[in-house]
Amino acid sequence: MRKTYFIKTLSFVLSIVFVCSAMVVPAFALSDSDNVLRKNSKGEADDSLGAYLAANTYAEYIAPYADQEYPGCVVTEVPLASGEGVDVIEGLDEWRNYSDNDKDYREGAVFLSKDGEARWTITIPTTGRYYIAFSYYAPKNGTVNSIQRRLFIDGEIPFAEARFLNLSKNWTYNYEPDNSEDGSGFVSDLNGNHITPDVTQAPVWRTYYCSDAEGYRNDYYQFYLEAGEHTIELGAEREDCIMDKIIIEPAGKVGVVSAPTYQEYLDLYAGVPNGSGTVRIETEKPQFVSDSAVYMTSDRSSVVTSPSSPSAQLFNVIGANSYNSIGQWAAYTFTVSEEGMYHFVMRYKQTGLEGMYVCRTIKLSSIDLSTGEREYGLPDGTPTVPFAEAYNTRLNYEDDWQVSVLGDVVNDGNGDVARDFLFHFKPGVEYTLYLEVGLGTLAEQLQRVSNSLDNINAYYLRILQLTGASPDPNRDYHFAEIMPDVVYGLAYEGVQLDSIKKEFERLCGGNTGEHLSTLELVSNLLATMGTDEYEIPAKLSSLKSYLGTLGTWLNQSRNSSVTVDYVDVCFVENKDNLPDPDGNFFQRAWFEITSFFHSFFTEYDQMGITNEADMSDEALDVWLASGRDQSKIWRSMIDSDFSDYCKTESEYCQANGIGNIPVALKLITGGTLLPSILADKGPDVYMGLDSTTTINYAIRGAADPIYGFDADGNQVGFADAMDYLNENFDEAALNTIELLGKYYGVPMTMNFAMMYCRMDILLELDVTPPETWDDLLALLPMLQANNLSAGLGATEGLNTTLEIMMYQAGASMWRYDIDDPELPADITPEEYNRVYAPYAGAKIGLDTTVSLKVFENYCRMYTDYSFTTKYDGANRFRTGEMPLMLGDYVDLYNQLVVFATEIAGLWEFCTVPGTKTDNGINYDSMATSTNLVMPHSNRSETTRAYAWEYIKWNTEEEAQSEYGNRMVALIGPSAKYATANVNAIDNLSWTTKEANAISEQMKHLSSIKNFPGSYIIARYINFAFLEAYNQGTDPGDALLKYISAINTELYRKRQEFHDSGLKVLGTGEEPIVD
Amino acid sequence: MSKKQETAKRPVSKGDMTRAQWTWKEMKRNKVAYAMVAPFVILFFVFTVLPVGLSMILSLTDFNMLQTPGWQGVNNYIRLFLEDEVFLIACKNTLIFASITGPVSYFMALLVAWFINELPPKIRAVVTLIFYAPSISGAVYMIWTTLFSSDSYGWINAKLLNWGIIDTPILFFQDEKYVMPLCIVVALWTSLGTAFLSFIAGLQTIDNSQFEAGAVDGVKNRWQELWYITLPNMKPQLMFGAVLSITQAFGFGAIVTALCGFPSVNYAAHTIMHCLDDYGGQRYEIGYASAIAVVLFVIMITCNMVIKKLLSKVGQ
Repeated sequence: MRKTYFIKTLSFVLSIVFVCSAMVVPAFALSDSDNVLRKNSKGEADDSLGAYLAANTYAEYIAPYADQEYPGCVVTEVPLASGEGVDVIEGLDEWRNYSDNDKDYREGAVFLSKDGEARWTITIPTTGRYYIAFSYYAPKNGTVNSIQRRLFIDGEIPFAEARFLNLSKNWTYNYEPDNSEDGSGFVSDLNGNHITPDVTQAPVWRTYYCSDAEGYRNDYYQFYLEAGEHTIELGAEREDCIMDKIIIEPAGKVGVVSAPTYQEYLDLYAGVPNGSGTVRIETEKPQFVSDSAVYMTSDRSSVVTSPSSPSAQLFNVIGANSYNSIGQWAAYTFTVSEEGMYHFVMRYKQTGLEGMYVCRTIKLSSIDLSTGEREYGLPDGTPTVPFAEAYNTRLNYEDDWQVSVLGDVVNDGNGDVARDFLFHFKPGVEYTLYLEVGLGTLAEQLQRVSNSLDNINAYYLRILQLTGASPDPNRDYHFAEIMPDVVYGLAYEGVQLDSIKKEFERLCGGNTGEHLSTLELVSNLLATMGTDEYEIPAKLSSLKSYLGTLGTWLNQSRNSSVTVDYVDVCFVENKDNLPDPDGNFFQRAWFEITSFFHSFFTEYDQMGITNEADMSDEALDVWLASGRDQSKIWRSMIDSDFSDYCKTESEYCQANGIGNIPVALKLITGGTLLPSILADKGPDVYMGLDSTTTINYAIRGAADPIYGFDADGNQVGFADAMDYLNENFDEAALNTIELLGKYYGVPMTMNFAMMYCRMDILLELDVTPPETWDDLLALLPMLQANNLSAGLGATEGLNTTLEIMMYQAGASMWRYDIDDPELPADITPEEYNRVYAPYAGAKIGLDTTVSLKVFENYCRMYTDYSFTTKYDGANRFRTGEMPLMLGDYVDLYNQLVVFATEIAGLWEFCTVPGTKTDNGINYDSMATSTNLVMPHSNRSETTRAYAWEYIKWNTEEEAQSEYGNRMVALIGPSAKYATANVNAIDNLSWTTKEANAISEQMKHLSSIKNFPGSYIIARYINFAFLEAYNQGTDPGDALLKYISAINTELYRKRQEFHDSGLKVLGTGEEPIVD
Repeated sequence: MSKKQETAKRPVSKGDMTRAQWTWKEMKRNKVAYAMVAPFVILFFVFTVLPVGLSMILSLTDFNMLQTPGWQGVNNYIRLFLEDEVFLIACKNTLIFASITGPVSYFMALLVAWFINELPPKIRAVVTLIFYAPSISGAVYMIWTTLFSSDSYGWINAKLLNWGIIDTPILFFQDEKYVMPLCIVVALWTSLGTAFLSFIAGLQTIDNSQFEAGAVDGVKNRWQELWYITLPNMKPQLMFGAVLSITQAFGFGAIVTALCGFPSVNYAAHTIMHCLDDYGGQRYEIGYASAIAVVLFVIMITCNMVIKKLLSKVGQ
């Protein structure tokens, strides 16, 4: 066959063209702009935040006093003076309100509420630097959060970091050695899998020395106090707290500054023999933990991990993805049988920071069981480091399990060598080992990165201010003339990052892991931009994305976890004799093979079931379309709390002598419900069905009403249901699941929008969050002048903003609904129910005067005021480009908490902008909910009653708050739960300020009812909006065009259900008023 | 005669038996073959023939997924053709899509396959992968949403804003003007799929001796070679590709939904598939949706027959 040049060339060219077209272009946005004016003026919107933004850092605060001599050894313990939300606990009786432990009662203890301020007046004898400490106790009924306070001295903020003082609580797991089959203390389910034990607060008196919550400093904060009288004030950020004294101690007595060095510590015990014997601490069973997010988990990656099983999930490690925030700790108690010097040998896996190491702090406390003497720790049992180097205990990187002796690295003159720590222990003393997450020797460098990040961010904003969103790469902006400091600063930070990287490499023993390459990338970019100003415009968008990368990098380096299997307390003579970290080849192969075959026989949907009855056919069938974690939590709550509920609270169970209702909880995928109902195999209770679907099922007879009256006026559902619903839920949530007077579900979650505000930016602009939409529009020129904007939500589908504006203005989506503004003004509820109720939803309410006006205003916001129709919310909020943004109070919050850690503390949410009406400003936000539903089937009366008991237990205050808190405990602060139960909100782990904002918005909620055909509304409103936006049609005209199409569809759809009691209205027809 | 009587007792030829008898006999004789084909036939029947049949029946009812269906007769079809304006829009859009993307992607696949076939084997393998990539890597068309994002940072919008051509971002996927052309472009981009692969395979099966014989017999240029030798040789692959192109073109819905949302603005890119989703998924009107499905089914079958006719002309 002859090939012509033509074909060759053509095919070549063609393939090149296609190769290029097929290459996927990286999905970056071209450039992000923000143009924030960094003014130093402070606004009045939030004094404390503004003040904190302007305050010095601790380093700046303490620097002038560095040479100040230590004052004499005076310890002042001052009883409490005064304050708001402060309650002096008088006597044991009052103490019992706060604690179940009488023996913890202390004379003069004071209760500080979670929204108060406490003040102490102290007299300082000598000018000097002091530590400030508090003796505190966590009262009962607190949430999973640690106690947080902010500190003022003489009414002033000493330094910015004093805003967050974190006082950890003491939690304990309830192991049940009697109930556990393998003697591990963990209860197993029917298949032998361990079940997470309950975690409860075990309050103890502890002493808290003010120190850095971020972990950047290993020593305690020092405060410069002049001789004379001072006020010390603690403002509450979150959680109640009890304190009995404040301790002002001259700096130098405890902490790194005065804790002995390791050498001094060793000298103390010179001549003590080496320890003998081995005490194994299985770390998955901590005695105490700092918060419930420190939990045991199951690791099956190695046969050596103890205990392990090829078939069951046994708890054998701690850490993995939890136990990685600064300040979290787990405590283990042990005793030794011979006096001597001991090592800690740890088996662990540290794969988080490649090429780097992770630091943990070893703290100890001890008590002599006979004399009560304490060798380690403070007199009240607060643990301390035995020597200063214990902060720097390092855990090296390796891609597999390792067994090593805990220690640090020291320079012996020839280079860095590992040094193993020896500790002195003796028999008859109970020791408690605290393993705390810290930054150790990494702290200083990480803080430098953090400072660099702040600086680069500021430079970035300055450049944007000059160039705008998308700078022209070919234009000369004269950066060097206009802002020489920025150009210089960029180069300087480049050098900084490079030196930080070198320092890290030195710390890590010359390793250049992949993890450090991020620093190099940013450093190179900064060097280019800083040395050649003409590169700045072209590289600006890279800088933007690198800022994000650097933020993430810092976050990762700070919170990197370690999986710990066990700690041995023993003396290691020869490191070659350390246990094998991995097991030999045959052990491993056999383990893998057996686990593979066992995987065929493991029934994952039975995970967590401890009771045979829960698997029987009689068990209540409950389906949950959610995640594995959620299902595990509900399962364990059903096991522990639901039976209690049946025994003690449920009237039905008590009356019928039922001790326990078996529940088969099944985790299913969404979309399973419809076919299952069709096949008549539906569950008894379905958890988490959205309201629209609930009503869709209800109208087609596939959901049973919880409460209501049928056509003949007979009551259906459960007699006590209405009271229960009214007591626990907001009307707005109930509204969405009501049809023709019947309620078809019980709300489980309720979501609504709130307004997120970047307070730092608003303060710089000297503005407050807008109260009304008019305020927002008035604020807009100011925002836009600075290249900022506000986010009103994407306009695709039915925008919440439009709904909010409609309902605030008094419009209603549906005609003849109870909210309809065009109903006769003086109509009584009875008359409404008789005449109009059956017509509710028969026509669309968009053609009323109010609605048209609102729709017009809404469209104008996008056409005339240039609000953005589509944007990446979290990203623009993070960069500050949209300092005001409407977003769901839980979804966006959860996203920001993990995604934008660098703006933590700089934003808040508040009620949505309101609309001025005749009765004042209406702040309503729109609520949506998901519900617990009983799909229709021919279940027996008993099963129905069981299902109702389950639903009540599941949605009531206690279970909802417990569930919300467990979610946060298990997954972290980004797993906030939007409970629908209005009484449960207070018990969830929001800070006081957040909780106040949420309850304020919860007082102002509306919702749109669901009627047949509601799907048609969103699309036609969207069409109308797009027509107004794209083609400039008058919004009112655009909307009116679609009204008849909507009404026709509603008419057609309602005809389908004419038997149900929904009356139809044809074109031009009005309800028949007789 | 006696012979005939004998055969009447023990029939041996087809003419001696009734049709049913003959069939049964043949079936018994070939029982091994039937056993072998059974697994496929059963699965095919249960999962393909039965649903098609069922939806034909359901299209005559008002089934809503949850309640017992009621008989509607041909009401659904009457409503479909006479009352439902959206369906007519959808029909129009579908035909536009199908008539543009179907043939264009088909010929594009063929041409590209033909060109690529000329490349040396190693390069051919790489280039084939690159062409095939957009259709295997699932949602890769999402790159278009980044390019044409309504956000002012979408690539095209950002550039246009930067050059001062527009002052507010264009909602490309939400503006009737742009929706349809954009969707067609994206559809073409992703359409070099399985058909393309089968063409390449078909091209490679052709024996070189045929080309030599063609050269001897007086083939003048490559087009003649293509028409008289290459294409007739790969008719099965052509048929396969055609069927695929048609189903793809008619079933083209997911990409539109992903790019323009559901439904697209003012139904500008609403196809029959979307109608089906709308009634089946959102409105719980399975009976009506089945009627739509049946119509779509008929259209596809018809198209297939037409294609078959056209393909039989290849090489003549």
